[in-house]
Amino acid sequence: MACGGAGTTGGGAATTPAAASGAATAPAVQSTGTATTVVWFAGRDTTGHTPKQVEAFNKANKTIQIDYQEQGAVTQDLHDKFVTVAGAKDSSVDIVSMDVPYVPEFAAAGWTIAVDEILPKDEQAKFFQGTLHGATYEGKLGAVPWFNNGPGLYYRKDLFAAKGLKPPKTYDELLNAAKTLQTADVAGFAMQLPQSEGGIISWMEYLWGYGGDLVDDKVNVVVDQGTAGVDGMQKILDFVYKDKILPEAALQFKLGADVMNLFRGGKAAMIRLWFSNAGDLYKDDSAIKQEQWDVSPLPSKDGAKPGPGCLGDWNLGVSKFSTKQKEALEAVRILTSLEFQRMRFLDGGFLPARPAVFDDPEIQKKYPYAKAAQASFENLKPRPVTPFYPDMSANAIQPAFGQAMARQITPDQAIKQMADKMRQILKTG
Amino acid sequence: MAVVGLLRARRRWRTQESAEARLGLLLAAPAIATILLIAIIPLGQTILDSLFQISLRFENAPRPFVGLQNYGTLLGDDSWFNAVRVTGVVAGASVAAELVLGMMIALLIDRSFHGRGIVRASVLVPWALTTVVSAKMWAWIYDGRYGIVNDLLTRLHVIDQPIIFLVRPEVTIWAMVAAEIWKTTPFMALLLLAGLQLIPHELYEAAALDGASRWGAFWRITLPLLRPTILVALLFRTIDAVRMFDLPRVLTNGGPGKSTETVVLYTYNTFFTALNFGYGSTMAVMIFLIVLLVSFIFIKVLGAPTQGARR
Repeated sequence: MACGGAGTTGGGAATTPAAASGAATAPAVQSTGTATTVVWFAGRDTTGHTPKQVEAFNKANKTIQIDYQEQGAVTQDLHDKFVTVAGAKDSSVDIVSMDVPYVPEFAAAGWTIAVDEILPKDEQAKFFQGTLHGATYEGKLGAVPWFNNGPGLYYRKDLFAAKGLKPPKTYDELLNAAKTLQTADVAGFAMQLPQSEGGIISWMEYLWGYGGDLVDDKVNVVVDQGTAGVDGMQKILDFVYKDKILPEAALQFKLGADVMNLFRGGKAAMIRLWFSNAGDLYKDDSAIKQEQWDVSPLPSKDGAKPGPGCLGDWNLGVSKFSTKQKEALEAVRILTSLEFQRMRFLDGGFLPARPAVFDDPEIQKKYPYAKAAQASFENLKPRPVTPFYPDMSANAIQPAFGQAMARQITPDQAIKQMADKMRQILKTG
Repeated sequence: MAVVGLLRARRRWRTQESAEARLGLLLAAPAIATILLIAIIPLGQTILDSLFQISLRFENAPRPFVGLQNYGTLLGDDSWFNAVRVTGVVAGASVAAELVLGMMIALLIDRSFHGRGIVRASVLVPWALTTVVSAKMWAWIYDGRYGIVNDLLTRLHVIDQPIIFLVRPEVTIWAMVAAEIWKTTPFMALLLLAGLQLIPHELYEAAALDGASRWGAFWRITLPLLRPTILVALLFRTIDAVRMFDLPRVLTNGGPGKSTETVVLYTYNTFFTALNFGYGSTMAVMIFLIVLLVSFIFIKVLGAPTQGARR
């Protein structure tokens, strides 16, 4: 099995432009002797770009070959399978892709190794700092940021211009703009609000926007201190039920694509969504064309600076039980290099974790929203960097948020309920 | 002499019997080994794990033996009892509805009519679909903006505002029950149809000669003779419903709040997001015991010999 991937993956590499450019630029390791094959456990890439990068890597690299293994379409599948493999101390995985919350979780469980050695301090400085912070657990890098993600406020440039409006800088301006632009057919504003990770991220940005947080630096629960949590939740509830600028259907928008489909179908004047969804606006079936939309930073409470966005990047790490850690680390170093991140953005549309990629004129020409994305990435905040977070999210925050959104309980009750449950999770371990 | 001969014959018969027994054991060995490997050993391991505190959250965390402490925690866990309640409501309501609907469909397709083959095959379609696929499909059907249910109700002027079915606790659980009934009624119908076909036609003819109504024949002939089949069907469906996981996982993920979180979904969350393998094992053992109890009750109550069998 170890050698199986090496012979088969190189096949059509020369025919794809992505692979060709990668082959020319990837730093090749010079060595004779047989290649070592490392297994990469990854989430599903619906764009099909990552397999091309793997081909490029394998073509350029003589000593290390990657056996790329995609898991299920839902992020949780990758997580659960790696938990199963690592829980059994099995050596069949070498490299693992990680969503932000998994980095501290896997590091604390002792399933991944620290990767500081392939990313010395001067190299670390070349990443977005918020992004890097999200991959750092107890002073050590648990993984290397591979591609970046953060939110922006997509808005209909044409509708705004027709009413002489500017993109909103504050929550109040957003409300007013939405009210002005809303029609029977077009929602004023939309974002993801279901009982899921996507939903609680929307709320978390308002919690931060009102000056609160879930936990402090020492991972003490502080969400019920002050009124930020309640205010943020009330603001969203008002948008939905009182001001009625946000369709109630958003409570069902489990995917970012649900929000994007509303926007690119011309059914929303503004949406809060990830930059990673922008690609859909360039597809032929988009009712909204490039001259009709733009992205601006998220609004904030007072408008002094943009509202905080939630970090949503992906990272690459190495399994503790891998018998080929040296080769796996080297592969991660190459895959997260400037060249690979540039190629990943240019050919695949995946945003980079390295600011330098944005300086590329070719990139700026191809992606008009690149500047807005860069501005967003400089203002990103990770969710609590603690191995308790996935448990807190699924079992404390999401149920309370879901009940509040369905108006079963008040924001006050929701915040109290989630804080109690979060403390309980911290206490019982 | 005769006695010696008899003894010898008996011994020979015995050795022959034990040889046959050995062969039988040998032939059954693969099956027994498989059951040991995939059922008994994991079950034993799960029971063992439930007596320890096993958290995978931190490296090298101790795994102390805690006896029955996990079971004690479970008895004080509101979320567990909520999950038991949700599972009971969903299983009870869906299996009861499936029995009635399944019986009606079975009676209907048991009669001979033109195109019966096609009808019988098409009735099975929902059951043949993967649950995850049908759950996704129902999520679309219930969708607040594009869903067909809302569209129909709006066109018929039953509602003027679309209902977001999957975020209203009082509606969501019944929306889930409806999806479950749609999905598994064919299975019930299929089993009952097989049972119906075992009932000899002569009985109905005799009943008709004696002047029994169709309704009377159903209650006096069909139902009693169908009883063993009903038992098997109810048993299968109830056990399945108690272990329901994929439908709530895909349709609602337990929400809103925890209003559709079934016992298996809660157990899964305990294992894979809380990484609490000791406590998760405790829940798995409890689910096993619940299934065992349900089976026992069904066999005791419904499995009592019917009057026909006693005669």
